[in-house]
Amino acid sequence: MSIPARPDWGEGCTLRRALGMAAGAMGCFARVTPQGRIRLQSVWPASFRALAAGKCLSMSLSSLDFALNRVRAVNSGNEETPLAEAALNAALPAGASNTLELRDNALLRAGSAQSLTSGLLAALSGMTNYTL
Amino acid sequence: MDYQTAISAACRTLTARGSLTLTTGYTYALSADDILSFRFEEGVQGGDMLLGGAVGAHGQLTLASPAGAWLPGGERLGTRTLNGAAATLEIGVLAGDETLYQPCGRFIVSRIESGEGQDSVTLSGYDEMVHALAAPFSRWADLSAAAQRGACAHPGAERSAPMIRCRTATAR
Repeated sequence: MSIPARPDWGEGCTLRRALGMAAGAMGCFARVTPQGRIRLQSVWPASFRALAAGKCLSMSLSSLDFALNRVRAVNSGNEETPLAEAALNAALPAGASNTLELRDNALLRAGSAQSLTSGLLAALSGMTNYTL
Repeated sequence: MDYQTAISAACRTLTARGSLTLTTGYTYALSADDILSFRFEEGVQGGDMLLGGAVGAHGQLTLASPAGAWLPGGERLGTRTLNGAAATLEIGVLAGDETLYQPCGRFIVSRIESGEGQDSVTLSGYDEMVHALAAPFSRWADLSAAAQRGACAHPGAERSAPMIRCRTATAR
């Protein structure tokens, strides 16, 4: 996938915000490692390190189950008309329990948004979070 | 015994060490005797997904400062300044006869607190996400350079995430 034209990054866009846009389009978030290095981390990594409940001194559980079905690219002020959308099951309505939203991401523009969104859905396919 | 085994044991002996690297490059080594406490906070509140987030962490370190050792003119600090210093902390765990260490976090000192007569000083600040990437974005080269300073890595690439050839964006 390539971005053939310069995106409109917006007024006052910082390096951090631009990094976030690139990370989001790749299915990632950005963080700094304990060694002080910037790293892009997939929100749905290929492997997980198990953490047994017995190893925790305390634990609080999310009340929200999540199973990815849909990825939407939207711009603020125009939420009802997504720039692009891809779903595993198009009949399943969008909701907080099944939809990831990329908001105001300058990399997702007409011409590239649909392919990026579809690719993102494929890359994150199987993403689930269920409470114990 | 490796670090993972030792840190996962039901009974363990922990310690800490670290360093303070000043903007001049001068580095203080911090021992367990220097470090009274430290903490790092990272992530999001409320369970929102992090897709596209650029998460900054906040660190806080309290050092023993007998007789104002870490205050200006004190025995440790002298005429130097801690503002802008990089604080690096490691957690150690006793494994048999040796202590094994792993990096715990790093932050840039932007706040220094010590009450009058106190024998401790507390340093705090955010990590490089906040400092190194605060500049306005104008060229991919700037972002790339800032990321390269942190050796930007993408462990999820093998998942065939939609890759972006930044070079072709030519945001110059």
